[in-house]
Amino acid sequence: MTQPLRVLVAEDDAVGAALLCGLLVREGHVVIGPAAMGEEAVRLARDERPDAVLMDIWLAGDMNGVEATRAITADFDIPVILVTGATEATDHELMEQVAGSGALGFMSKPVTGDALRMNLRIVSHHTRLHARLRDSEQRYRSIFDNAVVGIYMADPEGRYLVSNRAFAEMLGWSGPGDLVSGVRSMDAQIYEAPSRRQELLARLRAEGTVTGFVSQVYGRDGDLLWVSEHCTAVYDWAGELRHYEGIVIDVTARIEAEQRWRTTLGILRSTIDAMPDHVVLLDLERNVIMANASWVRQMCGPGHPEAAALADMAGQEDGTVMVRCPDCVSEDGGPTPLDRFLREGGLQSGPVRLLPGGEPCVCSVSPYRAPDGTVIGAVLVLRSDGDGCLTASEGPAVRADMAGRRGV
Amino acid sequence: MMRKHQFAKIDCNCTRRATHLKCVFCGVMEYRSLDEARRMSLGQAECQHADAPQVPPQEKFRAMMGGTLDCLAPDYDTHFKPD
Repeated sequence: MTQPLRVLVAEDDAVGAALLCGLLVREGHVVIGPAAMGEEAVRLARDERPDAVLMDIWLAGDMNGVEATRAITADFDIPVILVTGATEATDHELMEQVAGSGALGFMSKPVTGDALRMNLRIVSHHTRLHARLRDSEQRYRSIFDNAVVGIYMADPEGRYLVSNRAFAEMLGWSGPGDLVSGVRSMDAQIYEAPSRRQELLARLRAEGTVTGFVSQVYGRDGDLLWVSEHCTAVYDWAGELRHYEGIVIDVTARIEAEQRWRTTLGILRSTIDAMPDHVVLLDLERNVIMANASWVRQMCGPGHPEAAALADMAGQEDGTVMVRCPDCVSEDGGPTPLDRFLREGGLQSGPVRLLPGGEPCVCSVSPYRAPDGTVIGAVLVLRSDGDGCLTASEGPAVRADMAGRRGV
Repeated sequence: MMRKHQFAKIDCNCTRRATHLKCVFCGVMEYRSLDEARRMSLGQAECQHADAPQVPPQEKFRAMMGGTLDCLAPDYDTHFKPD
């Protein structure tokens, strides 16, 4: 026994209609109609929204059963089972039309109870599957539409096939449809570097999935923005790249923050490089954390045992090279200002002589504090009469020159 | 000289079947994410094992200025996985 259905019967023959209605009622279903004409069947389908339609092919009126089936399946998505006395042997052309009508099933007259029961069971199963599919589609469609990250599907030739709203808005288009129809070539209209998409495709073909692919892209209004793409290749049965799916995050703010940070660091480096004094930041174990170009030039001089490491350290932003501050001796033979600072803290200064080489200079040491006020290092300044002031542009050149003198 | 943990992923046998991190040197275990292991404070990061890698002075200095230490082992995904 199938679940009771509401079934529209379209049959112009009164005897045939009565037979079908009787079978349906006996199985516990609810009958709508019968409709004698195709137009009437379409109207009842629209108004009553039955679970299924039993449709005779030859009906009274201008619209036959095949035409009515096409209209009902296309407009209302209701499963239709065609009923006729014709067979492939008697009417080949009609059978061709039936096959392309969108009907879910086909029954020959006279209709038996078993055939009707079997067909309506298929209808019930079809309806359940259809509902589940629609529910799933709605759920994923909702996630796709409401995602805050951009999602797209594109073909290997460089056209968008599908996009969500977030991606279209990220690029300044009014909606997904606008983006898909408006972008004819991603190479020309989207990526700032013309070869960038080809690089992405090459990596997709080689690796299947590409993550964190950062590119500069054009918005619709010509603005440049930075995006990070996570792409997955989809292949056809022959192993050819059919299309690829991308998840896109706008990283413009992050990239601009990094650029600002590099600029600020560059200003800081240029400033300390422009100082004629040797300036170095040390931790409390005498490890060099940061130094200016003048200090690097002095310490990387010929004969210095740690020259190569010093040069490497000086050029690094995230230095991992351990360099100890070179020793110097106090002019009066006592502890150096750095020794006094490490023992007593506070500001310390005095005349010293650098080792090796023996250049005389004045050493000043001041504490370097963490945000909580704890002393975590020292800024050491060595002032000599020798070197002149370096200009801002000379600093990087000195660092590069010193880095090239590994092992001197 | 301070040394730091090097955490790698390990699957525990509890009912949660959670993934947690274990230092490949001292064996200490932490229920933390990979991102948390990449950004540990000085106190959390210190490892007493003699073979643990030393913290470079610059990284330690940055940590003292409010930065963090990267304590994820280079082979964190495979270190404790059977071949």
